Amino acid sequence: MKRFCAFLLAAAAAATATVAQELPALSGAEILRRLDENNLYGTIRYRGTMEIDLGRRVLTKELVAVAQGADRAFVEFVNSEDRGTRYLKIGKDLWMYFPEEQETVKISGHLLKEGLMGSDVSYEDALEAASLAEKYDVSPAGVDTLEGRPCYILELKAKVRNAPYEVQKFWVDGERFVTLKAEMYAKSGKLLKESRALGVERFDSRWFVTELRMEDKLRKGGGTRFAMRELQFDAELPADQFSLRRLGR
Amino acid sequence: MDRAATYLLAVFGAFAVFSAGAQEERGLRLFGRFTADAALAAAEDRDPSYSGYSALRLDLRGGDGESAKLEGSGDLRLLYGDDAAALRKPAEDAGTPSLPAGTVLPYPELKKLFVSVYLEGADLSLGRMIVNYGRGTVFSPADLFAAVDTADLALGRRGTDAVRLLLPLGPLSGADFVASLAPEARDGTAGGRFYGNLGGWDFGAAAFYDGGGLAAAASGGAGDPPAAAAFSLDLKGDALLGVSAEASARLPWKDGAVDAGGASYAAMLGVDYSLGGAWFLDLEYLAVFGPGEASGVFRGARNLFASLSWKADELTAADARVVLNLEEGAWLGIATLSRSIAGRTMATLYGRFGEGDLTGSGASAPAFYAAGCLLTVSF
Repeated sequence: MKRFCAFLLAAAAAATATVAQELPALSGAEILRRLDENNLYGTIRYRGTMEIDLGRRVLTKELVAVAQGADRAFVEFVNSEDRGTRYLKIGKDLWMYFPEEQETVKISGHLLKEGLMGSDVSYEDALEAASLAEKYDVSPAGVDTLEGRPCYILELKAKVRNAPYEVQKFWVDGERFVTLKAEMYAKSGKLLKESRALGVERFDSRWFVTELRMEDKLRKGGGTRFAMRELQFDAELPADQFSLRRLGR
Repeated sequence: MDRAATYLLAVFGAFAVFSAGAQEERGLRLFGRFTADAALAAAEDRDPSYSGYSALRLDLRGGDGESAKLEGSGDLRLLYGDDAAALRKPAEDAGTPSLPAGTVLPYPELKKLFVSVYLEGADLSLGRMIVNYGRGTVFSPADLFAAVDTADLALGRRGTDAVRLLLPLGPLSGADFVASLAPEARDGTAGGRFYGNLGGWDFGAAAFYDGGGLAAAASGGAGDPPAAAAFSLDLKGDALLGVSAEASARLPWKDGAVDAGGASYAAMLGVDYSLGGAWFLDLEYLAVFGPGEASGVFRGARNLFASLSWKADELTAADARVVLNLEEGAWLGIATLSRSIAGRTMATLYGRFGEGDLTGSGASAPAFYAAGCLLTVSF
């Protein structure tokens, strides 16, 4: 029986290796370019749910978000505990609005590594957006199969001091060019965070991750599940959507 | 029952009934939270006694951020113990037949109730709102309108009856004109503030005529500062630490001109930092100087605020804060331990301690100690 199981495992491993090896050879830059074709958009609007697994409890946050490119985003939380709390991101700066005190506060730089609303996603993760090529040297690191999908593995090494992670590894779906898995490492090689795509949907010619789980390996708990719905790409936005004026409305 | 109470009960009561059947697209939403508090307090000149309250916070939001918005927030409190007795005392002193001992007294407070109209190049707001210009957590000499409430565990700020016109000049800049609606126009505060962002630093510069009414109210009636022209600068940005700074000058206004000889000045410098996502430190220093009479909540010559917070996890947090009037040796300490015990529900243990003339207004308090617990349910 043991031999039979070993045979099955070997056969399965051989099959996955075959599937992954079928991917055409692409450079790291080309894979990143194809990834960007899916990830870069004019504008995006969606409703989101964050389920923060704290081990014994799950905190659920509801939000409405709009973004323009990688540089501008506006998020409003609508769940009862955080209702009306808003974030405005312009470039590398972030402001937060507290509705109870009608107060707008610029988030200090040292807070950018903290979890956004207690989640496993840091402000910095949210800010990083699509500026990977500016901060990292990208190189292909082989192929793999993840949940039946052939993937390219990309290794990203920080080339600037202010990169949020020293090393990142991406598993990029070889056919749909979305990131199915990402690992973020410290300089010491310690795994800091891991994200897995839980849902991928097609919008016209664009494949997009609509659900993922991010896990901060330095925190207790089971990570944060983030799901997007009612997605709209290239929606028309008011001219002042990304302004302090609208943040306080 | 004051005017605020009448507003609160009439407006929110009506909307509570109305919004019960309201559809979201009609634009009216009612939400809020329930809080129960019980505390044991003692003072140098007083035996330990019990006080507490149950409070219903109602928040109302109508309209949208595109054309017009209605926003309201108010507390309806039922006071127990010493707090109820304190509320009952003026009536007893005035000879009004007193209520039976043990009667629960309602104490309404309207924090916000205002409407905003969004025009193409301007936002106009009218009503009671929090006009918050301060960069500091506690010390904000630049902030003429939203004085910090030292009696509030969260060190929240109070609303002001005002009319406000915001003229945006860019995504991060604009001109903000505000006039308070004082019972007597000459006691009101009116002027403008320009704000912007340069090199990642938020800044503001303001000039106001200050009739003194708001400052007198903020200090609890202690002192009645003369009318003045008030100028201020404020700043918030990063220099490894989070940095905030404010400076203000207050020049008495006499016979249509400023009296520079009677000026008072204030300067605040604050820093904040976090360690490992678990520890947060906030420090602020406020200096008040000059020959003239100071204004604002804190009028002592040298003041310090320090806060250390610890977040054990997303459910549990502890916080210790102290406000010091270094000149008078007066202080206020607040310590809290909070835990989310169920969905939407937070339990907090707290202690408040202090003594002396914290605000520098001349009213010295005997040493006091209070310990209590608070339960908050959001809905």
